[in-house]
Order: sequence, then C-alpha cells, then structure tokens
Amino acid sequence: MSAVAAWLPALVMFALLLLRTPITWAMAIAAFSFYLLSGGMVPLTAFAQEIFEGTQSISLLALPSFVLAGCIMNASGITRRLVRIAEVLVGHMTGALAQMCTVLGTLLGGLTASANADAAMLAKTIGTEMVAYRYSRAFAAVITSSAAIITSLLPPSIGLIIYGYLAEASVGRLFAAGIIPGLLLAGGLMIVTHITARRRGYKAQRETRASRGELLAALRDGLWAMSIPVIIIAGTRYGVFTTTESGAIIAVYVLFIAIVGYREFSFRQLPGVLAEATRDASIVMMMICAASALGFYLAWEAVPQTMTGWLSTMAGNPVVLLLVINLMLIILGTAIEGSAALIILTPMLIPLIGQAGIDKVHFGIVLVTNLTIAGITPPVGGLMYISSQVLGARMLDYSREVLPYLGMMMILLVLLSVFPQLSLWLPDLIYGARAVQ
Amino acid sequence: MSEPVARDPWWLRIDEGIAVVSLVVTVGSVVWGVVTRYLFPQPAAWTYEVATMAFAWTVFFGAATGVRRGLHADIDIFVHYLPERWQTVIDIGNWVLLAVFFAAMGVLFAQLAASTTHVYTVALSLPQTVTYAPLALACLMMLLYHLGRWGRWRATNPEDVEDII
Repeated sequence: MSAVAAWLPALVMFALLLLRTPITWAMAIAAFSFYLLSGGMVPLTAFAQEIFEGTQSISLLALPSFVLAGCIMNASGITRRLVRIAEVLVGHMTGALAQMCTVLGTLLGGLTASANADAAMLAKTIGTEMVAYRYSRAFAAVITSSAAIITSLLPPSIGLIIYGYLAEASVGRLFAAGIIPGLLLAGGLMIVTHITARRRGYKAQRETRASRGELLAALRDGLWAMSIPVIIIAGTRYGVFTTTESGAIIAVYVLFIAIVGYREFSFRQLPGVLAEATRDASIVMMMICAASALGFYLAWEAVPQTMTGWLSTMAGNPVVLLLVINLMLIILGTAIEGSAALIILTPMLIPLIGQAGIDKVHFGIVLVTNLTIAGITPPVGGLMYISSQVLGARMLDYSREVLPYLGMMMILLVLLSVFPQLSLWLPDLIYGARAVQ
Repeated sequence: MSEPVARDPWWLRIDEGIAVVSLVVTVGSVVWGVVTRYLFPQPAAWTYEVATMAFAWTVFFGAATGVRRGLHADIDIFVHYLPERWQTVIDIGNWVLLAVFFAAMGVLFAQLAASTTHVYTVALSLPQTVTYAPLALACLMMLLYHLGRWGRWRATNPEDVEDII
C-alpha cells in the first residue's frame, strides 16, 4: 500500500470525529476504509469478522455481568444503607454532606463498576440534599462528580476490564492495583473538601461522633453489599473462579441479596434493570468492537510505532515518559470522552510502554486515573455533565469550583506515575510478583 | 433508575428484547459453567461457547437500540462553533454515510452467514451461520432505525442522563 493509502484510514477517523460522527462509527468506518483501500489484499468480510471478534473475548464477558450487578444494586435500596454508613462515619465532620459524598462514592465504587452511574446516583441522593442545605450547586456537582472517579479505580472497574483486554494485562492484578490509588484519591478529596468547607462554614450533620453501637449497626446492615469486592479478590486469588466468572457470580449474588437479603427489589423491576444494563454494556462494547477492527489496521501498518516514534526517544527514562504521556492525555482528555480515549489510545501506547519497561498494570492504573479525571474537565467531561445536569449547576461555576480538586488529582497522578509501588504493592502481595491471573 | 423504555411501541423495541434475553443467556451460561464445575463430575463444556455467542447478539442488538435512541456518543467541540447551515450540511452528510455503512455491514454479515453453513462450532456443532445471521439482522435494524432518525441528527445526551438515573 502507498504511504497515503496507509495513513488515509487514520485521517478519515480524525476527520469524522471532528465532524460529529458518533465515535463508535467513526472508528468502524475508518477501519472499513482500510479494507476498501487494501485493493483486495484483505477480504471485506474480514472487516465483519474483526468487528465480531471484539465480542469473543473471554475477559470482556465480565463487563456486562458487572454492569448488570451495578444496575441491580442501584435499584435495590443499597444506596440508602451506604448513606447511613457514610453518615455514622463522617457525619460529625465539617462539611459533613460533602464528606459523606466521598465516603459513599468509595463504598459504591466497590459495587457498581460504572463511574457514570455513580455520579448520577450521588447527585440524586447526597447532591440534592447538599443543595437543600445551602451548599452551592456547582460545589455539589463538583464533589459528586469527583467522588464518582473513585469507582474507576476500585474493583470491579469497567475501565480496568477494558484496559486489561486491550493491553493483554491481568484483570485480577489490575483490580488489586486500583485499590490503594482509589483510597488515596478518596483521602485527597476529603482533605480538599475539609479546607473548602471550613472556609465557607458548611456545617456538620451531627453534633457528636457516632457511638460504637451505631457504627456496628450500620456496618452490619451494609455488610452483604460491602462483601462484594472481597468476594471478587478472594475468589480469583484462590482460584474458585476466574475474573470473568466472578462478574456472573456477583450478578447472581447481588440479585439474591436484593430480593432475599434486603427485600427491596421485586421481579417487576427486573426487565427495566436488564434493559438498562444491556444498553450501558452494549454501547461501550460496540465501541470496543470498532476499536478491534481499527486495531487490525493499526497493527498492519505499524501505526502506533510510527505515531509514538518521537515519544520513544524518552523510553530510556520511564518516569519522564509517563509524565509526558500524562500531559498529553490531560490535553486530549479535555476534548475526547474518557472511555473513547481509553479504547483509542491503549493499543497505540502499549508497544511504547513495553519498550520502556513499564509494568502494564502500573500503566493501566495511571492511564485509567488520568482519563477518568478527564470526566470532570470541561468542556466534554461526562461526569461533570451528569452531575451538573442533575443539580442544575452552570458550567462556568463548575469550572471555577473544580480547580482545587483538579489540582489535588494532578498531584496524585504524578505520585502514581513516579511511585509504581503505590499500584503494584497490593497485587504483588495478593497474587505474587510474577503471577499472571 | 430508568423505567422500561416506553418511548417507542413494543414492536419497535424488539431489538431491546433480543438483547436482554441474550444478556440473561450470557450471564446464565457463565454461572452454569461454574456450578457444573463444582457440583457435577463432568463440567458443561458448552457454556463459554453459548456465552460468547449470546454476548455477540447482546452487543449488536443493544447497539441497534443505541441507534434507535441516539445513544452513541459524538464529539461536538468543533462543529458546535460552525454556522447553523454548515452544521446541518455536516449532519446530513453523516446521516448518508452511516446509512451506507450500516447497509454494508448487514451485507457483509449476511455473506459471512451464508459462507459458514458448513463451518461448525466446537462444543455444540452448530453451523456458524447461527452466530452470524442474527448479526446481519441487527445491522439491518440499525439501518432501519437510522433511516427513521432523519431530521433528528444529534446524539440525545439528555436522554442518556435520565437513563443513568
């Protein structure tokens, strides 16, 4: 193929993305153009096969199961119980509702898998309560969208499943690797919130700390749900089931506790929940299928190696390379939606990461953290959009309020990049340093 | 939490029905695989084959639902700043391009289905046509739903938010 023909599909994709073609179809049409331009070297039906191949990954089978489990959770009254736990834990602190939001985001993160779903849930529950207690709408939108980012790092995270598939990295190790960064993010959010709340005089929700009895009662009530991340990690660690199987087991387990344990979910709700899970999972999956077809073209023409060639000069210094990639992703993240950027960029960056000797699991945590932070950056941040929409916050006010949180997240991102141990210590401890799960 | 979709009549939501049933089969097959591994002397060998087949149907019919309801996200940071008339021209161009693309996908999957009648799956010995033919149907649905969206150019993001809630 000539050089022009080799680059044309990439140009087609970027042109279509700029021209408002839906991202999934822009990638798919770009891939299709490669098959058309190959002059019969690659048969056209191979395009359909490549698109189809995206659905044949065993690791991606976990995705719809975890999405389904999250949808059932959200419909089953679990959020009310988790709000209660958050309230007894931090209700006595300054800016209690905002702090509760972070704690609730952390608890939900271990259950629902979808940051978008959590942003909506947090905004609907604690966000509206915050507005009623005279917190500014923009501040409420910022804290609810920021707390939802934690979800993308805690198991079971959809972003980590997708990355694991695209980078051929262990999903089990990725799940374990996200836990400490997720908790660090939660701690950082609480510090920034504390400073802001003190300055503005946002009050506590209760005068004294909760008693031990209150705390135990709340924890006991939420125990069934909070056991889910433990089941996933323990089940995969001891070989009871694979990560893919854990998704399906969790979906059934969640349905069981929703109906028998909490008794707040009826079978009449099930069709709606199934439809919601199907929509959420298939929209993301179709994008992955399109990326799969595009991946064939990228590999055929060695596009990633060419496009990231200038970056490879830095491959000798992994830390500098990671920081430069972070900077590039932050800029890209302001324009491209996080999951789309993850799907487009992972195949391009992985060869470079391997060349620089950076651990794929470590890079996955940095990449997913970076791209999820993009969810709260104007103008296309999905989490920002959801929270602002629910709470009626203006984008200009949101942009101002989000700055201290963004600053904290940038510091965290640098720490995660410079200190791989923050990501790798726990998976090495659970699975062993050389194990592949 | 979203209610069952009530915007279109039931016969237009057949895509969603197929996708939901396929999702149940996907999850159920994987669970059955784990159950038989521990409870029966011989674990079921067909579970992953059925799960991946049903998963493909979930994705394609779910994507058809996405086309019907305008849920596939786009990036409007550039077009947003163009004059209204230019935006309409771009939207019509996109509409034509996608219609041709969905038709082409349908034809390609139909060809695959036709050419694999004698290629059998490993565990159940089903012709691969069983896998590919529904995908051709899903692509045809995408085309029909897309044609029906003439004039409604944009991805319906506000609907997305309501769905998530």
